[in-house]
Amino acid sequence: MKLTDQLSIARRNLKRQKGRTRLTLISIVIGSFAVICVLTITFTANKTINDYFEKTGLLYSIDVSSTGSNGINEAMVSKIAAIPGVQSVSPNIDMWFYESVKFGDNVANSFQSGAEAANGTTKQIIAFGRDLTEADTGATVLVSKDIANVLTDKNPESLINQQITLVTNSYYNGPDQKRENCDLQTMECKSVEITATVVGVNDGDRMILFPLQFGIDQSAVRSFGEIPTCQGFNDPNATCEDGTIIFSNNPIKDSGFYSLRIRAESSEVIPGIGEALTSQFNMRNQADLETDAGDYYFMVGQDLLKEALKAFRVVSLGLLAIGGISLLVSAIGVINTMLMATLERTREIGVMRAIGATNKDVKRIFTVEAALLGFMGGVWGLLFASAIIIGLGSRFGGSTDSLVSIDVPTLITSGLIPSSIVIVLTTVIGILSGVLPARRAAKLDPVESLRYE
Amino acid sequence: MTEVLTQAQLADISLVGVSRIYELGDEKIHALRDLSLEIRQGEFVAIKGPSGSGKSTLANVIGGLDTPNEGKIVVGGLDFSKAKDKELSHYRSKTIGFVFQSFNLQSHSTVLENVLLPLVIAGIDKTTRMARAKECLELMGLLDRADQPTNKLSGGQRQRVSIARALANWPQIIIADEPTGNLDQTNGQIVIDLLTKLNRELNITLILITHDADVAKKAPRILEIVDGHVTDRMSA
Ligand SMILES: Nc1ncnc2c1ncn2[C@@H]1O[C@H](COP(=O)(O)OP(=O)(O)OP(=O)(O)O)[C@@H](O)[C@H]1O
Ligand SMILES: [Mg+2]
Repeated sequence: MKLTDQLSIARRNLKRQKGRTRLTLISIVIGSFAVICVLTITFTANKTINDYFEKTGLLYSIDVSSTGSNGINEAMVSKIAAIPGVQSVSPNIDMWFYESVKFGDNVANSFQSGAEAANGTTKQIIAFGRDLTEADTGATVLVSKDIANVLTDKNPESLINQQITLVTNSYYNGPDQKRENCDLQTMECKSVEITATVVGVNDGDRMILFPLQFGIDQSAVRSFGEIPTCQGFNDPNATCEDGTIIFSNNPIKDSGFYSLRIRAESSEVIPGIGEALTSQFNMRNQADLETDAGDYYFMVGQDLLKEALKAFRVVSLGLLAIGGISLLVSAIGVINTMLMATLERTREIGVMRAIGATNKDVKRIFTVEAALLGFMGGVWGLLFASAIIIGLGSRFGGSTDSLVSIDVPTLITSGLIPSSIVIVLTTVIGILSGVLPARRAAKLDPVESLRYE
Repeated sequence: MTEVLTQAQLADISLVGVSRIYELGDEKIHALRDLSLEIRQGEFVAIKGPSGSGKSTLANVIGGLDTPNEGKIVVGGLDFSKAKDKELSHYRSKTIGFVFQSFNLQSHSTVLENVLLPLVIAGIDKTTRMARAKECLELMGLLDRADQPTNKLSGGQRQRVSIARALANWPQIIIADEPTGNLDQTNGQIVIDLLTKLNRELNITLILITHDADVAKKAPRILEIVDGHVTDRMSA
């Protein structure tokens, strides 16, 4: 018997019992729908997160941090930059002392500001304007799109080349702070305002980014003290003005940076760089830190990605298990349906045997029928899942504000298409569920079957 | 069709010492007892006997549907005791055509689909099997009914469909187990005439099982079974 003929016989037999076929299908459809949805979301999220890491360079990054009083000084920066496989390095300066940012009447409060070298160590994805360059040293900034939206009532492009105002918090006592602003007892100061020119808007997450040099300059720390007269004052570390001593130092210049990002040439060389960091500077990877960190430790961006995906995997495995259970239940449905079919068609099986069907033919007819049930269940599951996922995706996905956004084309190519493998799974489930009924049908004695009423 | 048959090897039937015993609890029922007989290709043999005497059992054993407990059956060189399921199925497909008392058609399928089924099982390609099925239906005078479901047909018509189905794979032997049992006089007559015509014109061996002495009389050779024993005689 030819497979095509077995298929058309199977199709006819399923049509003969429309109601029962549909009921059996429903359970497979529910199971495959659930599994396809979970897989699609997992696959798409994996791809999107991975893309994000790739786009931002996190996939190739190693972050070095200093824990002790010794920072990462210039000599160390150059040594790290010379490690084979290192493409570029950039210190990170956390400019924690800006409290809010203003533009016209609009204010944004919740953001981070920092400074880095504009050498591509962290890739900026520029939406409008331009990236910072190494020629920028002053108060020029890159603003992330979400902040730009707040400042401009959703017209981020209009911020390019405009001056924004950064307001410091009360602990700021950098170069732009004035003595008369500060209470010398508590060392709290009034806010001061600093203006900066926006050169670009990037796809980032609540971030205002300055040139490295500006960050270094602003990290200078001053403290004020009273003195009756400057007459005879002589301390190389301080200046005296109108009865006030001003102590000034810059921890970055004195002892180095707190943290440094390394961009590797490829993800393959990352372990090598890690080994070099350990052997040259006695740094430990944070991922395998058990005891004391020592003066320095480093973190590999890829590990972060793996961590993020691992957490996600736990959730999706849980959901998959639920889908899997409903597929299992549907397998019982298929077994039941096929057993009923063997009973109903006992006489027919006898006739088929009498006119030349081998017991293998009989077995195959039932197996193909069960496989077809599984296959159709999978196809319908995919259709429903596609409709719902594409529907929801085009409504809620593809938001332009957020860096990690899920769009419909990614949902289809990275999510739905690979998850359609579930059709193979449901077909196999169908075949497996058909084994017992098919074997039973094939074992029937032809004479007995022909006598069956 | 005639061509194919003349080319085919002769399907002579030989049974030696065949017994078929059913066990019902402690009781042993001898449906066939130490039965030996020969039927040559092209013969027309009637098998008669009272109810429960073993006629259907004999038909099933010759048709390779049932396996005897003892004895040897050889048809057209094929020794059943040595044959695997595949060879026996092939034999049922190609050498034998069954016609049943209760037709055993697929009532939800059309006349044509019923006749096509043995050809589909034999793996015949689409165009050939379509032509062949129509040829068989024409022979049974049912070509105009090809697309009707069989449950819309009269008993006589149904039995003709089942003869067409038996004929589909150019068999050398047709075994008809009380083919007129569910038919009235007239339709029974038509069916018997068609079957004997196949025997006469196409040299198909016809094994006809019947209660009816008048029907049996048409056969040149009558086997009478009583209680699993057979008496063989040539009719006058
Ligand atoms: N599966 C079975 N189990 C037990 N006994 C059986 C079985 N099949 C047939 N028999 C017995 O074998 C004997 C022969 O049966 P068979 O069907 O061959 O008779 P028959 O001559 O065809 O009868 P009828 O004219 O009524 O069709 C009967 O006694 C019957 O009861
Ligand atoms: Mg009988």
